[in-house]
Amino acid sequence: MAELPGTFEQAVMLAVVRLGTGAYGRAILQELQARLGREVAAGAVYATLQRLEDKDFLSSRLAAGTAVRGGRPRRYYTVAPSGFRALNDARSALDGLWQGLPWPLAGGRP
Amino acid sequence: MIEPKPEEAVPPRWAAAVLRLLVAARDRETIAGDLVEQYREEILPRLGRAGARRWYGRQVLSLVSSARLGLALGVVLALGAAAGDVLLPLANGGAGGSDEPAPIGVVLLCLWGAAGYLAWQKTGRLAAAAKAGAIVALLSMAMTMLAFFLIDNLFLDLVSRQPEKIWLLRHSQSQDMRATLNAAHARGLLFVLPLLTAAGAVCGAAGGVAGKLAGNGRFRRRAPR
Repeated sequence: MAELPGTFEQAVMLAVVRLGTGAYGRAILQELQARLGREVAAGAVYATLQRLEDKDFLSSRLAAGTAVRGGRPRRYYTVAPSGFRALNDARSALDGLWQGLPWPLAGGRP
Repeated sequence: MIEPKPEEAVPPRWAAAVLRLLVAARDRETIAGDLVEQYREEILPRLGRAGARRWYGRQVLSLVSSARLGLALGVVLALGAAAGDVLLPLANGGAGGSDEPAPIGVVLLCLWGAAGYLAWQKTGRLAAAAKAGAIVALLSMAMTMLAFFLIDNLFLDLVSRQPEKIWLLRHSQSQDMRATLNAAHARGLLFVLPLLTAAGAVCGAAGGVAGKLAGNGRFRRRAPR
């Protein structure tokens, strides 16, 4: 099995999958904040996107910017085949760990 | 004064300058575009001008890696050392002289703590905050020491007239100013730099704790809408 992505890396890749063709920096940040229910620092997202590209889990392309951006380009991300494999492996690993256990676990409840 | 329309509002210049200087060239334009877009469309109408400017500054600082922050701080300190020792060699005993070290030291400790605060915002981990403080301290102090080493060797005639250098020579075993200064640099590299790096780690961890206490980081729960 290839290297499994970390939890935040998985969250970023799943945000890219959900956003489809509209997955650029700001949209990914907003999707993550909505899904995770917390503030996410822009630096954490961009650093993770870069790392995932370095691992060949994501690929990106530049597209023309809009007026509100001052004409600056957008970088759109897509999940690469190795990224999909890594996500599937991570899900399988987690499912295997949970197999046979009740959910939610009772021990942590007050 | 007439307020600009949100779609024309300009983010703080200092933050834009930091973005240009310290963010990798590949993503500089696209990240700046994302931030400006969000600043104009969402943050400015919601938080107002002052709040939006603070937001923009926080986002930009979160983009700067500890290594780049440390190197940038090192460059500033090295330039300060060069200005003090070469351009004004005898003023107040030179930059980093013993007359006024305390204010610079306090500023440095605060900056190392700020690096920890930013790292905590990004990761939510105190270990990362301590590591960030240590990296910034190590790089900035190593560059400063390198600057003093180069200055002392390249401008020996100038620096050997400084009172603290004369004092150092008098209290050393050697009669050679260059050898005395280089021995002092070697001692600094071996003993002082690790201590300062450890101090950076402590400051970074303190910055992380401050971020945690302020509840201002990535792991803050958002208010339900």
